[in-house]
Amino acid sequence: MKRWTPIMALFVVVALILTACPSPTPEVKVVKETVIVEKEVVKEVQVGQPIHIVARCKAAPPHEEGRCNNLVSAVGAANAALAEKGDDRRIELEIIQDNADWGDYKTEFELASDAGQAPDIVCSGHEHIGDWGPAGYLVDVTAMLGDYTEFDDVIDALWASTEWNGKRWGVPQDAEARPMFYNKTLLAELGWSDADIESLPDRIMSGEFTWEDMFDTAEEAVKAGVVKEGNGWWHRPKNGGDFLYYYYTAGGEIVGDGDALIFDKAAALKVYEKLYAAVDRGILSDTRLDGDWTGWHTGITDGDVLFAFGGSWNWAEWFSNYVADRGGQDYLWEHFGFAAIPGMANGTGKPTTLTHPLIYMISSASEHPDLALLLISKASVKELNTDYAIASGHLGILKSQAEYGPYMSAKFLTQVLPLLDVTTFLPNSPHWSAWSNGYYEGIQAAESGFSAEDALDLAVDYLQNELGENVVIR
Amino acid sequence: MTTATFESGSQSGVKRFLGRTLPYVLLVLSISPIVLGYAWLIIATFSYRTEGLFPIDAAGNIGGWTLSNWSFLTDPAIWRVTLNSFVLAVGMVIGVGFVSSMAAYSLSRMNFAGRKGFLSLTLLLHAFPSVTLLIAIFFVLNFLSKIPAIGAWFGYNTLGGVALVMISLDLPLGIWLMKGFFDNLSWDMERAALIDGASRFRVWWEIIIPLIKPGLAALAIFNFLSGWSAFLIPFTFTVGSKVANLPVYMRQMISDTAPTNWNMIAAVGMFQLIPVLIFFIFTQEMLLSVYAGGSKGGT
Repeated sequence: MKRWTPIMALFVVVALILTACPSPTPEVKVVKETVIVEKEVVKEVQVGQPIHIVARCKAAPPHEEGRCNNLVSAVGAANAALAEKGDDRRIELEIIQDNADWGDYKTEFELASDAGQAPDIVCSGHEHIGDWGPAGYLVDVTAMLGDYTEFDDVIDALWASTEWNGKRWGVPQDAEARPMFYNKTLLAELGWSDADIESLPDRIMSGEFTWEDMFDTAEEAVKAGVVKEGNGWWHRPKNGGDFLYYYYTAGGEIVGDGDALIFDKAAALKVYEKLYAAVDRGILSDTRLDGDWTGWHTGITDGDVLFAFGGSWNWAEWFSNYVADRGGQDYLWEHFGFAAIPGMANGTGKPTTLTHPLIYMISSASEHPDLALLLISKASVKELNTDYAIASGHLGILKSQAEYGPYMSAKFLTQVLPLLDVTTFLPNSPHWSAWSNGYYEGIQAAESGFSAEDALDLAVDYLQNELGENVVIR
Repeated sequence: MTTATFESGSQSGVKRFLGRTLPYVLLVLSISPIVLGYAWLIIATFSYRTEGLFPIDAAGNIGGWTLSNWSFLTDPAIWRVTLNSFVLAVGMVIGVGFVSSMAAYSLSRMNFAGRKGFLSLTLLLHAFPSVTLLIAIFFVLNFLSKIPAIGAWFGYNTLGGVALVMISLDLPLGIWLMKGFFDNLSWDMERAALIDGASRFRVWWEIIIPLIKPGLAALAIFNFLSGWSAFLIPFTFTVGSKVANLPVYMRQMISDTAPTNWNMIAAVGMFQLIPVLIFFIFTQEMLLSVYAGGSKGGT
């Protein structure tokens, strides 16, 4: 009996919890811009032969969940289109959506593809086409795209991000810009006038305010005690596409005539010098690459950091998850501003940013690629994509959104849009991952106290060992 | 003289007191991090946020008790992954118990070519951490996936496939544990049964197995715990939550970029702990018999 007592107690506790449980409403309050998006509601047609389609998306909850949820919303329209054509197949969609680590996400798709069990649709970064296209994991959709008029509306420049080997391997799902965020309150504390603060984006665009000016301002803020040492400027806390635009603005090129990628030593050296100096001058902490995203978001939104290189989607992430109880977007507009990444005066001198579209791709394991593409086409309409763009802080992918009321009335999106004038992309190359890791070795070294020259040597060694003939060191 | 006697008596009293209390003090100190950890786990599951061991509300004051962290119990996926965890754990209990008890019996009682080599290799296999075998395991599961009928149950992205891998990885330990139990059994009853004409299988099943029940039970506990808390293999060889188990479900709650609700994760951890606690309450004596180095035939 004695043994049963704790068990009975546990059951009682569990039973009490079960009966007292509230419905699973997320605690996080989602604050969206008040924009009414009119969506066409298509009644789902469920007569016919059901075809099971699986879609896999990575999305930060709750604001990015439109990635897969838009496919769910498109099922009705897709089935209606099938019915209209006299096709008796009907799509039954299963979505798998979480916010897994990109590395785990990629590995999962690769293992599933090798086992012939990959989801029909995978939404992933465009640079993965460079790995998955040559590996035979994806369907070449070049010839199929013409069958769906919805794709005529996709912004022409974005198609480049879906291409490898002269063919198209998917459809853009979103786009973004990666701006420099600045804390207006801290700049004011430093003595900047309202006019100085408001004109910063324009001064960056004109090349008047450079990367070097940003560092000088950050150092001044640290010395004046406006921010703590190491909080003058933050970049992302782990490797990612952002670091490539440092290299671009330092004058580097990555894509050449052949398949091999280029590593420009002079440009990389400038980047490593800048990062070494940032740590040395107390602007950047030598532990900034700690991999902690939550700490990164919290530090910035709590007003501890003067300048931060982030992504447009951070805006939605912050008002949804970090400052929702402080006023959401209003709080962000009051305390933060954003602009293009300043140009390096000793590099190109031109401002820059980077766009990293996510792409809906179709797995070569899919038995119904036509249905998968039909579903994607119905999710790539201005109503659904605008809803996602507003909620997630990403840019639209369609030409028609430029004249679509709900999209244009979203203040953040319209203000980010001009950054696309100075945007760049990652390369779609099977060698990009290794190139990025090699370049990042140097970044880690420079921020850990290695001289820029030593950091460069480490990067070059890594690239030569990993890529051999597939990299041109110059 | 009297003073000296008093002093030595006092010293020995202090020594005795220290001798009695010091081990307890050291024990309490050494286990306190674990006890505090569990205390935090329980408190965290019922609070919005915690500061140390105290639940605090949004304003930072002590208070803010809530049951909302347990709202995951209304998510249908939790029951699916719990069932998956249970199936995996039970599958391991049955699979490892059955195969190791048969293999260990033959290794303990029979002499055949390659016996010693097999035993050494089994031990060697146990030395490999499963993470080093991931790629090789993937190729095996991939191969199994392509076999009609079998592939659907034991291939990549199936619970059967995960169970198969977990069973294989736990077999070396199981075989060695069970061999220890068989080695400790007297030959007398077995020999008598064989002389009376019983087959080897009958001897194993009707005479030996009842004698090593405590060993089997201990092995079952190990495998249940191993299957219940398995992460790496289910995480690597499954897609989505259909065939995921509780630890993988918990991993999916940890966001790459969005803030993670650690209090809800603590609640899921607590939920995962409940069956283990129940299991432990019933079987701790048997578990201790393994740690103590084997059984004397269950008598």
